Amino acid sequence: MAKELLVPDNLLYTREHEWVLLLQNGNARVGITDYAQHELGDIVHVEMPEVEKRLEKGDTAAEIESVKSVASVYAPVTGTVVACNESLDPADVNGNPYDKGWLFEMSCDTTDGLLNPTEYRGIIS
Amino acid sequence: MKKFNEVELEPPKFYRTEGEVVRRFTRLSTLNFSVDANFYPLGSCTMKYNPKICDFISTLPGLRELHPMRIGEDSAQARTLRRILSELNEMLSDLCGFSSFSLSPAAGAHGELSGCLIIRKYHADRNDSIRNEMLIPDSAHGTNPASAAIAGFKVVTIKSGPTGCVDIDDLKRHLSNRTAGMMMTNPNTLGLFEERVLEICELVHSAGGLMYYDGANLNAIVGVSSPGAMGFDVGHIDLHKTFAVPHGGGGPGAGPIGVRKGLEDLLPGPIFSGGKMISPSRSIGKVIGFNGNVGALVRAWAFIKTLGSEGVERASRDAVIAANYVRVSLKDIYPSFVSERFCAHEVLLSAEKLKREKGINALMVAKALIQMGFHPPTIYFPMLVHEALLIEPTETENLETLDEFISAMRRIAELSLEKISKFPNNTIIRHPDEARAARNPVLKG
Amino acid sequence: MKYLPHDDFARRKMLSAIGASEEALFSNLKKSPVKLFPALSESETIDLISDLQIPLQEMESAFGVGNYFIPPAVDYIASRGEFVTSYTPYQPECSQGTLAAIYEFQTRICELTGLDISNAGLYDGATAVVEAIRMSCAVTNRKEILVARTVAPHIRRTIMTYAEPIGVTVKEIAFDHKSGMTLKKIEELSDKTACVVISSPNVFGVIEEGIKDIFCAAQKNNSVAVQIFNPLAVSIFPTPFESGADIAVAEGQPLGIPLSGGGPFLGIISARNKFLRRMPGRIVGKTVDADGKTSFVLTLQTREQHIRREKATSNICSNQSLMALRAVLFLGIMGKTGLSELARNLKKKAEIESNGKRIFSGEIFNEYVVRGKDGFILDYPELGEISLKGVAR
Repeated sequence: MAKELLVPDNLLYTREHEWVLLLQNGNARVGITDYAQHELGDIVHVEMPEVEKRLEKGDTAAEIESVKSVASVYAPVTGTVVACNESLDPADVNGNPYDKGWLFEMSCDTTDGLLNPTEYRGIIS
Repeated sequence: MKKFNEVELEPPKFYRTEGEVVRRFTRLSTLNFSVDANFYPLGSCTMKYNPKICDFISTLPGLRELHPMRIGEDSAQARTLRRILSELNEMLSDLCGFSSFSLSPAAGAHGELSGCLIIRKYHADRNDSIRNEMLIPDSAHGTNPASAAIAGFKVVTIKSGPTGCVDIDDLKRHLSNRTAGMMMTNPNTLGLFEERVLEICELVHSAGGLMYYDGANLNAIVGVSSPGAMGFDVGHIDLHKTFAVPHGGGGPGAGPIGVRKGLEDLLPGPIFSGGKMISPSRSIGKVIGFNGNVGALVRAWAFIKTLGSEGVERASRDAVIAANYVRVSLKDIYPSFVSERFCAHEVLLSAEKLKREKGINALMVAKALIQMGFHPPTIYFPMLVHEALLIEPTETENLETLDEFISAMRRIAELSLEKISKFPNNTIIRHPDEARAARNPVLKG
Repeated sequence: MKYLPHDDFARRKMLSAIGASEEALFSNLKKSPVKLFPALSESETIDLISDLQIPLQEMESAFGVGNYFIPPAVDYIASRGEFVTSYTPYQPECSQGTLAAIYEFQTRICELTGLDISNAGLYDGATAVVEAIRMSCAVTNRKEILVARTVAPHIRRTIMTYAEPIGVTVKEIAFDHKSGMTLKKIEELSDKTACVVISSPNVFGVIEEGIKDIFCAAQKNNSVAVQIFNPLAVSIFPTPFESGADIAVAEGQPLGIPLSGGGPFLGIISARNKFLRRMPGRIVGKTVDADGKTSFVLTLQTREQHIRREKATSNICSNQSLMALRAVLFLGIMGKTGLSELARNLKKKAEIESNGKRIFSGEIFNEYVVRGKDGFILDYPELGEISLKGVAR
């Protein structure tokens, strides 16, 4: 099953199934992985973090609701929230988890502790 | 071609005549499964037969037309009502091993909240308000932590052990001088009797906490054992479960809250006792506007009176026998980690093996049962078991019905995936899009 | 044992399949014998309460509940076994009847209040006020609430029970002793105020003419405006929407629900769209099924306790669904015209009956206050001995 799930090579990952894209300006764009969206089922709503909120690595940043469950999205790094995907369609978190389905962006001092694609693939297989 | 009871589900803008209302709602009613018409083995819901004498009593005009503020008056009607509510209090107290009940809470969750408030005040009155933690098993129904949180407690989750019962070591690790109490149900939500309940109550009492009994599963024990005998201090009963008050499509029920000796003063008033109404001296206060769901309370009174004490005990015994009969008849196809053990009044099975071998999961089993005219059991709860099927047959279903259900469940395991994916095709709608309903809420016409 | 179908033969058959004795199934339960009492027959049971077969024949209303006329068709449909003995509609294919009825109920309530959303009902009017307060505190993150002293005592007492444990402070807003209305200028509004709760009509039966101004001030202060309304009065007086309410709650008993000595009644709640995710209780939503047909389902369940547990918007599970059905039947049979006619007649009758006897000058709906003990005693020591009366027919 894991082999069919997408794990793009240009991203970093967490054990809690978040992905991180390092942007040109040094900030981190965050979303949930294909594995996570598959486990959650149809996503109906995302409760975003407040812009300018300071988050420690591991803090609950956002909440994702499917029809029958709620899951927390944890801050993959320590930093401050700079933007949220305001126009997010929850269905895109399922259909385009790495692209249109991004959740929020935050400042990022270090990517220490994040997993590379190979390490993440190891976790979900 | 139109079916005889086909009805436009969308509400009309208005009705021209009473006839239009009657026509529409008569047809709508035929779209429902109901205990009157169908086997309804929902785990933890106790969908037993609702005797019609109970409904009849709630329609008596002297009761129907009685204003809540007149219930304390000297009329024959008020006196009779106070008498039977007092008798209900007495009977429930005796059956549960408690000293007194408040009949105010309108539902189980309401009872839980009231119970949490009682525990809170108990400690506050003893200047022990540091006790702000409520211990709750991870298998507990969601109303337990929700009620505790609304009462101002911090919820501390206690793990279930490998047997499905409360992990005593985990409990011990979480007991402290901040423990206000613990909420439990026995049997638990896995349908198992908590074998160490006496020990658990002792441990929590030694730590200074009170024990709360969630009465959702009382139908397994009432008349045989009681929460009072197990050591519980406070507890609620779901009258719409154990005492046959009909579910009405989601309510109304009633969740009377009982206490052991020494805690009566804390109950939410009014208390019906000896034909009078009492305001407890250290009450947590009013939990509802008027006197509680009296229409439901008198139904429960009539149910217990017509059953008698022997009947109450016999009902619990038959409920446990019936659940175990279903268990042994289906555990080969739907095994779970508890299906080899005796269960209480409900059995926790699983479609995990079926899913692995044939791709049929609990949701598909449910849809196939609907196709065959059975209301499905509870699915995907408790979450400790994957593909959970929590089945509670109750004591009021005859052997023919139980055997029909068992053979339906066995047949489902033989169905092709292609066939199951089309079920149900004999109900007015099929596989509604719940994601869409949540993504784009349309909540009125 | 007329409800228990199994005889000894059936029990033996089941126990033999189980492979154990009956006692073995209960072996680790501490036994606790109960007091013996006999099983009565149905007629014996009815004989015990023969006094309840005679009506009291009081056609009164007080504290928002009364002996209102219930069209026989309401009882007729609401006693159908398919509605009475069905369960919560968690399985939509099995319960489109209940779901369609509740969706219609939500629709009618929004029509009555003029607000955007409603739910499948709460326990009663008093606990509905408590839920509105909970919503307000959650949304504003504030812990002080202002409640008009003209809100009925039984409601204010219920609020106190739930407020104290979660550290919510309740302050009362005074009223004018001549008119019976809440004072328009509220000194107590501050940046700690989560909501302002006003009842119109209030416990004195008086219409709160200043409600729009009060709610305006509340909203300027970023506090939530909560109105307790009357589901009959609302057809001839300004709606909660028109009064500027954010959340409107009511006791729904006048809508085809019998008094039954105190319940079950019906809590009604309606609010502006922005409170959607904080709404308590069950909500029915419209969708389509696999064949494109209109269908109804319980929706936004992630608010509720069975999913959110200690973070749920409320702990409510079972509600008063059958009473909501009675209400929607009542509203359908009466229609908008029937409702406003009924409201006008009640008002007229109350005004005539109370002429020269009412102690307050404010306009009334169908209840009023008189000196002395003639009606239901009202506990307002500052007003002396007063009591509440009202007409239901």
